[in-house]
Amino acid sequence: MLVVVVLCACGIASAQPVLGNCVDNGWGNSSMCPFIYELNGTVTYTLNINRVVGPGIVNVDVSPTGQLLNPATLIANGVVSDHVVLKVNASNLVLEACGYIPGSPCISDPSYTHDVYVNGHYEGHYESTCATCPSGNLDHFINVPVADVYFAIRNPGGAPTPGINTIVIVCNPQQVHSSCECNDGIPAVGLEVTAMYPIVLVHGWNSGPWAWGPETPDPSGPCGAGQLSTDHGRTFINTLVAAGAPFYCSISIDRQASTDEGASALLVGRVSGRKVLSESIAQAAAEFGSRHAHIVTHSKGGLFTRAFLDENARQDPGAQVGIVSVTTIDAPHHGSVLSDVVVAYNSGAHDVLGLGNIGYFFGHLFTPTKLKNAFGAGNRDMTVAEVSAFNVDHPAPPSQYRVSTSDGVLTILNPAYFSTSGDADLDHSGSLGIDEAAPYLWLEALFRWNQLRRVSEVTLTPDAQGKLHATPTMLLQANDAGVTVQSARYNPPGIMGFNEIVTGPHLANHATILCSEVGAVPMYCYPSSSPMPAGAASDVLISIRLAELTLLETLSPQ
Amino acid sequence: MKLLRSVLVLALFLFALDAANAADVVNLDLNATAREYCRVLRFPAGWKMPIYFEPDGFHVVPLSKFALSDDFEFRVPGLQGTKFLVRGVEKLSSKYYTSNIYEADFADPSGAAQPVGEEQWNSGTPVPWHVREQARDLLTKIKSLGFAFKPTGRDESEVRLSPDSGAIIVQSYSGTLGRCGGDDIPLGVFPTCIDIRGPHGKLFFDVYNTETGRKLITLTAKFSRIFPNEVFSRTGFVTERYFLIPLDEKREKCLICEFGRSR
Repeated sequence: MLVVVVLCACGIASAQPVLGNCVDNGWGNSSMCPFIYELNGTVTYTLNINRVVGPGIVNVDVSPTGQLLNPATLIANGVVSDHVVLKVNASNLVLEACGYIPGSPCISDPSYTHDVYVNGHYEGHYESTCATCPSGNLDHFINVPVADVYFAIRNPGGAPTPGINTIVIVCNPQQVHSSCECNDGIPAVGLEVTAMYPIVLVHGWNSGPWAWGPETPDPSGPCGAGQLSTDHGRTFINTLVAAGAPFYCSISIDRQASTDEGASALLVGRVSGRKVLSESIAQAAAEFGSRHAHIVTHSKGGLFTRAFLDENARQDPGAQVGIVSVTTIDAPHHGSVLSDVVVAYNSGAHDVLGLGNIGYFFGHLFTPTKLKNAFGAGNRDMTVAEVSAFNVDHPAPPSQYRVSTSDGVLTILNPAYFSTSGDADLDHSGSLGIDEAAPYLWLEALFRWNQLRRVSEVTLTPDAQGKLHATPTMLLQANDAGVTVQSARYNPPGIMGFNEIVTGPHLANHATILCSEVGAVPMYCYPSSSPMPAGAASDVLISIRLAELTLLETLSPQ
Repeated sequence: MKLLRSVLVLALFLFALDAANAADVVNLDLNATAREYCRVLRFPAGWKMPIYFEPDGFHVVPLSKFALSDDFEFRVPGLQGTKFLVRGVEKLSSKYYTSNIYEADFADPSGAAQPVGEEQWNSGTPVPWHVREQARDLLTKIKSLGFAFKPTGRDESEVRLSPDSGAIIVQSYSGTLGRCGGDDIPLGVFPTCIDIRGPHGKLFFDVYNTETGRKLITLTAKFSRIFPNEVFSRTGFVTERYFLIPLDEKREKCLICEFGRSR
């Protein structure tokens, strides 16, 4: 199942050699032996790695040269493999040793070694022998500890700075057979590593990058600090930070964006006169030097993303992003009853709030903008009815993506789709108490007096005078004070591959991205097919979750 | 008696707060220079969204009152000139149109749109509404022009490029987004702050000629109790010629400016 990510394929331009103290023996222009050196020769390759491994922030995650500062953490959490495979293609070597005639008998049986150094570290040697002349494996593979390799450095807002790796191959003259010179033809070298694709975070309605919390590597960015006095995404972010996972949390969508507008922002980004206000998913991935991404969404970000996925799959392979997995956290895949209430209220059916009107009144007085935003336009296409129509247009996410690479078009089959949900009613009382929903007082009033927990949908009917009245459909449905568990489950038919539904109680409400989903506190984010071990520690579950992402990562080569 | 007086004082206080909340959210400084390019367009009777029934014929499609976040659609009656048919639309899984329709002459100094009927609307020819294009492409295009299109405001928002690429409008603002900020979904047991005034400050629309890099004008407006992006995200071009800025939350007033290359 494991397919390595080729960071720098053999034979590409960045791997051209620089001859050391070797002497061109006159065959340098041979089509079969383009790079030849003789006794005591060394050959030096400069090999650029354009992929960021882990968060990639200089002096936090990587040194200024791109060396991983905490490789053990990254390895332990499945962010990167423990070694990089150095591949040396020496096909011309044997041909040369055999007198240039493939399949011909060897003139002699030379056996000699080449010592290999990566960034000054001795990594071992390989042997060459003429015995492999006719059809043997002409590639040599050397395992290089990941700590010896220089990876790209992330430049937030721009392309990464490549990690420049120096690979020196020294011919060992002591073992040269007299009839066969220690000459060699090494067309190219390459490095192969398994590394986690970047995780792009997509926030939801009436929110922004700050929803993911300011406790990022840099408190003043990139998720944005200062917007929230309370940081409800911090546990989630801290989980990713602690794991050393490559994540991007700067996607910024208008607070009241419609689903289509949100999808457009994910597809093309948002730009001011001089700078990008929000990257597209493609650009976010490109910041890590990748054409692929995992996406993790919160709330309406799940709908933005689903609409984006279809648009993305329609793009030319040159523009498509290879979506490896999507995890939706508390997404209203079947609408939000909260939006039903809001839209009914905005339609003029004020009776929908009942005694919650008192809470509305005080909210209107003391935090009018907040109230206005809570009742804002982003609710309109999140109602149960509207999302139902959305689901007709977007019945299932794409089962494949096609991405152009230097090796042609790569097809990613069966990307994984996960959905998670939460139930804030921890005491199973049938209503959400202060400790559970933890809303503002006016919202608390709205929730309690309206028994929102019990509402599954709101319908409107006019009276004889044309005034609208709301009729809540009262069904007992577990929810997180914004989205019901049923709504957050996304399991459309016909999806291949992974499609685990992860549900369980939250310790907090919809605004709190505790993981239950990916991190923090007692965890219940187990795939439904897997039993949760008794007393499992959160970090164990975190690693399991990340391992899933890593596994998915390795499904397709970069 | 004291209790009654306290209740009255509280009622007056609440009334004052409510009145303060009801003021306009965007106040434009339409000075002489601005009037050279722009005029205010009014829709005197506002916008009314009729009741639309679900297919069951009994339940009503829940539609909010027509607001800033809704859209306009434009058509031209006959040959394209300065007259446009304007209608409000709420775009959900289906399009829901306002019951009233206006004809507006963008060259009319009085700026009052006139109501027209469904028949005229149906006979009109739709014209495009340009809002955004590929962000990266747009940024590349802007950078290729070689000019620094500086914003007046401290914080930038999305830029608008006229369809003929003749003018660029750099949208920015200075001010505060309010004391509370952040999400508005449940956060804590008690409100962490009271923010009666809410977001406020100034919006700026810096208009540049893309061929010369010269700034044509800076339109300035005060904003209050609204996030700047709510306004910025609803600006756009009608045909290649007219730039529209909404001025109120009910969309009964907007600013029409002529910035295209033909200007």
